Order: sequence, then structure tokens, then C-alpha cells
Amino acid sequence: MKTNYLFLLLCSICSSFPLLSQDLTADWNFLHQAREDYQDWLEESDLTKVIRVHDLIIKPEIVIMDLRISNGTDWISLKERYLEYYGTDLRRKLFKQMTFIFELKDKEAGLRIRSDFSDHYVDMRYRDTLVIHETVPRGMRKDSLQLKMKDIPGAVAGNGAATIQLSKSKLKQYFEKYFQKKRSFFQEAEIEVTDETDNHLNFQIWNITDEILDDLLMGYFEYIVVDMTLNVKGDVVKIYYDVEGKYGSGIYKGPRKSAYKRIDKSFDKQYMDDYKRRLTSRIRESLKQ
Amino acid sequence: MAITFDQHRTRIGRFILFSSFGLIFLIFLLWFFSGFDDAEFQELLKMIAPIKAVYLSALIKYIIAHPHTNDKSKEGEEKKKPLNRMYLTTSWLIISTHMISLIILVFLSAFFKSPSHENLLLIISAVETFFGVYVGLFLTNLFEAKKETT
Repeated sequence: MKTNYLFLLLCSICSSFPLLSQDLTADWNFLHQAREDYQDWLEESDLTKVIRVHDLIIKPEIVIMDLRISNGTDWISLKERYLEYYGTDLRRKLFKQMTFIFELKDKEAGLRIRSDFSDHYVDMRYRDTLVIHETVPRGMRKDSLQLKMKDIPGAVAGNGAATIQLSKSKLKQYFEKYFQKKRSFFQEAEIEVTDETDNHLNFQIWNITDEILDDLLMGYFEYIVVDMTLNVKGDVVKIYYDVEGKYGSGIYKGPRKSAYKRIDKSFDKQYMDDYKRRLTSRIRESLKQ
Repeated sequence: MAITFDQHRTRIGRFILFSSFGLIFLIFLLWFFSGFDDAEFQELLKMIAPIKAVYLSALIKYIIAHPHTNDKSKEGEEKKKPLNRMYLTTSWLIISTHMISLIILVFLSAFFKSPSHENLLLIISAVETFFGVYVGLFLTNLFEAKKETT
């Protein structure tokens, strides 16, 4: 009789400890409290500007944390900064912190990250080791074009650094001239080179209309960011470039930079694709001059 | 020259009618000239249209209830007496400041993006909250739709 009572007592104690129970769905209350704790940890770590807890999926053998990120680009940038400051992969930290707060074994935890813009995903699951699947966001994939050195007047064969400098100065000159001709109805176009270190060339243009959204009856103000990276391999100059276009309303003046909206989110994707094609031919034209 | 209640009501009624339609027309016009993008235009109309509809419905209700030119009731005769200066000034000041400030705000936001769209919506709510009660009081007093006695 005493043994039976002792057995019952042990069973009830076991079920009150999450780590000891086999079916994870039995720990629903504890796990949902842990979800709150995880969100608190994200807030304390100042990560909530980019990541937030969206959902918690509890299955008998696994708990999957569903995190949401604002967009792929912000996530990549946060991940890089985190690695730079703390020397740790943010994804591993998120996973480890989950197993710690939820009191789970590695194999009982799964973590998935989805983007509000559906432009990025990360899936993490432990199978002997932590397996991470992650996409490269669309915005991070740069378009590229390559030219032979003989097609670039003035390029010095065998001197990569000089060729890069020459190409950068040609591109800068060409685009400054090109955008200076452009304007909005009341304002002159503004062009600013924001980065020209090493083999990078990054510039921004604003106060401009009808550049990307070129078939609107009354155009919006546009804000364009062009990011280029130049590489020389043998006698070939390769230019990786990425262009981001935003638009904003306004008649005399456009909105402040942070109030511009992404063109590819509000208008047909075709506008950006067409503009990239036009930009490719302009880059080629500028280097051949 | 002394202004009677009837004259004042007609002027205020005309002002509300034209300024309300004017404001809505202005929003459409500024949207056409890209002063607002589609989302901003929708948000702005969603905020402005219901409030203006309340004002206009008070006015229209009164017009429908009083189709004739002469109100010969005792109350109607009372309303032909001149109004005091304070009533005139306060009602004009509150109603016109309210409407004109909305028109100016919408215009500034579309032309110069100052205030920004988010701030424009905030300021409009503040203006509506501040003036709404007072404008409502005057409108009720001016356009109370009682059945006409001939």
C-alpha cells in the first residue's frame, strides 16, 4: 500500500517538472510562460527592433519557436553587427537561449524565422549538430556585369587597383552628370556619393521624378540608392551592383528620407527590373567612354 | 449693420457647405498632383470624410426641414432680431478657424511634406477633438431642425 502511494507521489512530482515529462504538450502552461520570458529576453537584449516572437508550436516531441523579422536586409545587418560585437552567431544564440529558457534538450527545440515581407527564412533544428537552413535575401543578391580591360579606355593591364580607381572615377563622373540633368518640377536633383572606399562605390540620388516610375501621369519623388563593388580578375573587370528605389509623395518638396516607401512593395516588380536593365547599360556605357 | 440670426445662419451654412466640399475637392486635387500617395489619400479621406459628413448632414437636415422662405412662427420672428457681437464673433471664429486650419494643414502637407503625413493625421485628430465640441454646439443651435410652422 505504502509503495503504491509512493509511486503515485513520484508520478505527480515528475509531471510537475517539465524536463522529466515525455510529452511536451503536457507542459503547455510552462512553455507559454517561457515564451513570455523569451520575448522579455529579446527586449532586454535590444533585439526587438528586428526580431519578435510570433508563435509557439508545441508538439509531443518538439517545441518550435516561430520568430518574425521585419525584413531580410535588417536581419542580415543585425546578424553581422552581433557577430562583430559579441563574436557569436546570433542564430546559435537565439537557439541556445531558447533551450535554456524553455528547459529543453537541444533535440526537443526547433526555431524558425520568417520575414514580414516573405523575403527571408531561417530554419534551425538539432540533428547531432545544429543544422541551419537560411536563404539569402533577394536584396542581398547583387546583379553583375563584366567587361574586358581592353573595352575600358585607359585601363592598365596587370594593375588591378589602378583599373578599379579609373573605373570608379568614370562611373562617378558619368552618373553625376547624368543625374544633374534630372530634376523634379520645383527642385534640382541631389546626388551624394556616400562610400567610395577601396573597391566600393555607393551613391544616393533624391529630389528626382520619373526615373524609375517613368510612366505615371504625375510622378512621385524618388530616392535611389546604388551600391557597386568592382573586382578585377585577370583582364576582366567585374562590377556587382544593387539598386534600391523608393518613392514619396509631395508637390514642391519630397518627404524626409526615412518617409520614402519601397517601390517594389507598392508598384509592380517590373519597374525595378526594367530600371536595373537600364542601369546595366548605363554602367557599360560609362566605362566604355 | 446688425445681423439677424437668419442671416448669420445662412452665411455660416454657406461657409460650411463650400469649405467642406472645397476641402474634399482639395484633397482629390492634391492627390492627383501626387501630393499624397494612394495610401495617404485613403487614410486622409477616411479621417476627414466622416467628420464633414456629420456637419453637412446637420445642415442638409435643416434645409430639408425648412423648404419655405418665410418662417412665420413666434420662434421664427425671434430669429429676425439682431444678434449680439459676442455670439457672432465666437461662432465665426470657431467654425472658420476649424475649417481653415484643416485646409491649410492639408495643403502644407501635400506641398512641403511638413507636417509629415503621420503628423498631419495626428494634428487633424487634435484639431477635430478641440474644435469638434464647440462647432457641434453652434451647429446644433444654428441648424436645429424643428418642423416649420407657416
